[in-house]
Amino acid sequence: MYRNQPYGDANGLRHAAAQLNTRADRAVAVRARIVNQASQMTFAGPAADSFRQRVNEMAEFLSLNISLIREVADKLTAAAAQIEASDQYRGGPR
Amino acid sequence: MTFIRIDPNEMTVGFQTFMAAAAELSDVGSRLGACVQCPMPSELRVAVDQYVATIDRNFDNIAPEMRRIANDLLARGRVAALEALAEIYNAIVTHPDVVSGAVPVSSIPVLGPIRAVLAANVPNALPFANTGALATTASLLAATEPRPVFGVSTGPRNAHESIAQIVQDRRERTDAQLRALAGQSTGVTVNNDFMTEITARGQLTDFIINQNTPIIPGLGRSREDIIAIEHGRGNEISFVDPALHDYHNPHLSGR
Repeated sequence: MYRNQPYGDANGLRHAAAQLNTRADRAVAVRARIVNQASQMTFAGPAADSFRQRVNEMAEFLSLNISLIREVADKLTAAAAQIEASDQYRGGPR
Repeated sequence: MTFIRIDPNEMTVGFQTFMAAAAELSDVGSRLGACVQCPMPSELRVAVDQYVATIDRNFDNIAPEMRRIANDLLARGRVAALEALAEIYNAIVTHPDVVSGAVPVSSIPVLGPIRAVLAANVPNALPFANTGALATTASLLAATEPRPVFGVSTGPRNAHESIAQIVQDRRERTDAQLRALAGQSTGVTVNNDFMTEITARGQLTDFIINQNTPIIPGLGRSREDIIAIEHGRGNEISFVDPALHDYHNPHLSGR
């Protein structure tokens, strides 16, 4: 994937991936909180229907962005693995 | 007719939840860039930077919307609290003894959960809250008229409408209906069937209802009934009010 320029800090990339996953976990928690809040409320009426619909839309949008964060983390992890493989081929880290 | 149910306490919790969520999402988004500062292949750098910028921007867009939702919940909760206060006040000042002059309105105590609603929504309405002394309708009015409704826009309903004005408005619009209903509803338990019955009769609507206690139409009932409501229904406020159909946040509902 990144064969032409396999430079980089494998440990740093893995650390970055872990940080991104931590951020994604926080976003997941936020998503769960707003969804739970909306579902537990006894709020009823036209405004309540709009509110819940909006929260559902927001939760979907959050899920999409959480997936994007995980995708970036996966890319960093893959790059780290590639760098480590390259280092091994060359006889150790540069 | 549409059933509207708003619990002011619940709305306050919702407000806090969504405000906290907005703050946390902004924080998450703004820290993404710092996560990916390590050296990496240039192709990967380009892709990662694009991802991060997109996600950060998306979170920046979600956070204000969450704050709008939070504020909308809070505004609705406060409107509901004031609606209930107006109805309670209406019930007190139209008490037969008060109307006849036998009892001054200022002597009617404000008891039970209503005190909690007041304390949460109308600062200074309960000047004796910490002393255990009873607040009265007089102190309630002194503290709320013509006080703005917390400076929160409440849609078509005038944000500066005082409780007394709400009461007056309700009295003019519904007095005859409520009087008619008061004579018919003694001991009737509010449930879906009863609401359907009200709908069928077209006998709307400005009264406090409770899932488990007799309906109190707000007029023509005894002081004991009023006090019973205060003790019985907690802070939950359920009411039927087509007027609130007009109240919505265009950012939230899109209507």
